[in-house]
Amino acid sequence: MRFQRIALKNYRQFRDAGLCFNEPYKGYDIHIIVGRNGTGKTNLLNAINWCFYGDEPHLSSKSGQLPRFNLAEESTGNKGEVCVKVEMLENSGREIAFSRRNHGALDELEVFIKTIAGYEHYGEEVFERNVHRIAPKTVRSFFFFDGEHLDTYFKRFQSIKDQIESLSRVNILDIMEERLSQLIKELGSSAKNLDPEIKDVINRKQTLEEKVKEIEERSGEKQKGKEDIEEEIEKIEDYLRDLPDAEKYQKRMDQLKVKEQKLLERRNEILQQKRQKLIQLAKITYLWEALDKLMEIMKEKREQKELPPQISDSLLEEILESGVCSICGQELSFESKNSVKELLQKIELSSRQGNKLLVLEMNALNIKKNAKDLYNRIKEITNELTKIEEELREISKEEREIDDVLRQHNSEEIRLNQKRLNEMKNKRDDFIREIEHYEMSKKAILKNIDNLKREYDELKKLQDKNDRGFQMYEMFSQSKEIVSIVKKEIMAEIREHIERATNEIFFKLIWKKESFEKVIIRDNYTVEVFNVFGKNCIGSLSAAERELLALSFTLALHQISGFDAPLVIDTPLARVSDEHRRNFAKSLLEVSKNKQIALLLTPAEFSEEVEQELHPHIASLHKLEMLPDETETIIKEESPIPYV
Amino acid sequence: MNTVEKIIWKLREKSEGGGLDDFLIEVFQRELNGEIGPQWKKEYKSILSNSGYSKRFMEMFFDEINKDSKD
Repeated sequence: MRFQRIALKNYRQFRDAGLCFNEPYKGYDIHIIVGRNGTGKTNLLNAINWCFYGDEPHLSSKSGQLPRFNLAEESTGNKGEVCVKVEMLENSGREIAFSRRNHGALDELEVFIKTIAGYEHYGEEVFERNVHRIAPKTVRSFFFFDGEHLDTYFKRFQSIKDQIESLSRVNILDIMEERLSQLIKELGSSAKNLDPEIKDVINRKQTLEEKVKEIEERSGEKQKGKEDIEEEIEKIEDYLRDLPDAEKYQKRMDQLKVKEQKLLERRNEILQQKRQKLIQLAKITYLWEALDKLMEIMKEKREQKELPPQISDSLLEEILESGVCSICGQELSFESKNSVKELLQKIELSSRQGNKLLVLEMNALNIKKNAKDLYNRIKEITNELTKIEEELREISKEEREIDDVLRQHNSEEIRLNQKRLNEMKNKRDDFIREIEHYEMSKKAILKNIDNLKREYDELKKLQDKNDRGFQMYEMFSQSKEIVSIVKKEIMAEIREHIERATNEIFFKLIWKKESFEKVIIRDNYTVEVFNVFGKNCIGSLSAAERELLALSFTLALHQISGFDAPLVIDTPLARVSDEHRRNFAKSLLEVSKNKQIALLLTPAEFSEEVEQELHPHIASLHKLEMLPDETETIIKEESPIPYV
Repeated sequence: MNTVEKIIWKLREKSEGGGLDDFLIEVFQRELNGEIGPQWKKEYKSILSNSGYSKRFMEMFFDEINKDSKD
């Protein structure tokens, strides 16, 4: 993967500029961009970052205060766009170009892929996917970096370890492992062991089923008992079918006796009554003649008017007292008062005698009436007695008939059989009631069994669901363990690989090959360089040697990462002493045989001796020149003519 | 064999007796290669609906990881 061209429009110092990365020259794919401080070398690094990732990580404090839009263009009043376009050539030969434009608020991302038919144009998603394929944001600092990065490389062991994980994408395993842990935790807490509940339901169901069985057995016994009894009932009924119902007759006889007794008691009672009434009536009969005589006398006296009129003495006394006639309402005169007084005296005298006669007459009438009542009552009693006698005769007749029937058969045996029949029937009814009770109990238990069946089905469904969850739980648990093991193994392999590759690259590039024996990389990524005397001499390495070691390490990382982006280093020689710059330049040349390298150098770095070393092999050479007003940098491509 | 290929090879080898199934390995592979984009997200939803993986898995393994990856 290599850069072919970088075009910059209105990006910071670069109003309309471009860098052409020529084909490798004699196998060396090294490109030099030389510029004084402030001309925009670091902003070229920023331009690549901005195009790919949308940020500018190497922005100096001075540049950071300036707008991204080119000042010279802005001064013309134009409000155009900022655009950086990076054209690349993949190892497969496919050409791909990334473009980021900014008109104001949002960046517009485009990617162009060259095909036989021409350029195909894609949007943001394809853009990001391809950037991720070339050099993801997390690993960019291993490809596009400041030379200082190499100098301080091994001071950041933990950072290196993290970056290696990121670069090798082992960090993805960490994320996956973390997610698996979360899922395992969630599944573990949601999964519930339903076995005890299911067992409990099964046990309860079995208990109820056993109970049903027991009930059925008991009900069966009762059913058999009922059938035995019914058989016996049938036998007794067969025996009794043509025989009189002795018990029934006996019962009837008993009823008749009771009735007969009651009738006899009643007959005695009313006979007594009749006797008393007859005595009373006899007494009156003796007086009957005297009574008739009295009535006759009274009749005569009444006809002869010997009986005083019926005048109330109290009325006369009231008239005298008030002095007013209570009949006509007139006041009584003196003469009238005297007449009333005389009348009152006469009445008092005759009334005493008359009243006695009237009382006698009244009594006589009452006695006569009483005699009539007695007669009627005696007549009623006589009728009742006749009825009772009739009933007694009927009873006697029926008793004789029953007696005749029973005398013809063995009534005692019949009676005993009938008694037995009744007992059997009662027993059968008891059995029927018990069987009904068992059936009801069975029905209730069967309903409970149905409920338990439903509960069981629901629990089974839930368990099946849980089982699926449990399977996932098991799978995720195993997966997590595997991921963890794989990660450890991969990290160990990576470390070994980096160590091996670093050794190879370092000893290929280093100019004092005989001074060093080996490079060791520990598990925590601390790096040790052993000299021929077997001593760790990393602390005494020169800046050039230290940077070369870091470069070797970085290139080793490139190998294991699988990412094939070019290497862009800003001021790689600034911290390298003059005596080692030539050697370091040689090493970079060596690296450029396998990887495109773009070096952003100050004129001091691109010293005569470095130029002598590099110039015969440089694929392209650009120089940055700032205009006098410092608003714009021009990129001049110089012919990379071999140095003579 | 690059690291991603090696990781996938190891995951597959160690999962022979149980562990990651083909689908989960594909998820890992795509994630390691940065190949999980909106289009694949749409596709995996239909794959997931037939895979027995839960909705929660989708949320955890796709939405979250993509988010992390982008971060």
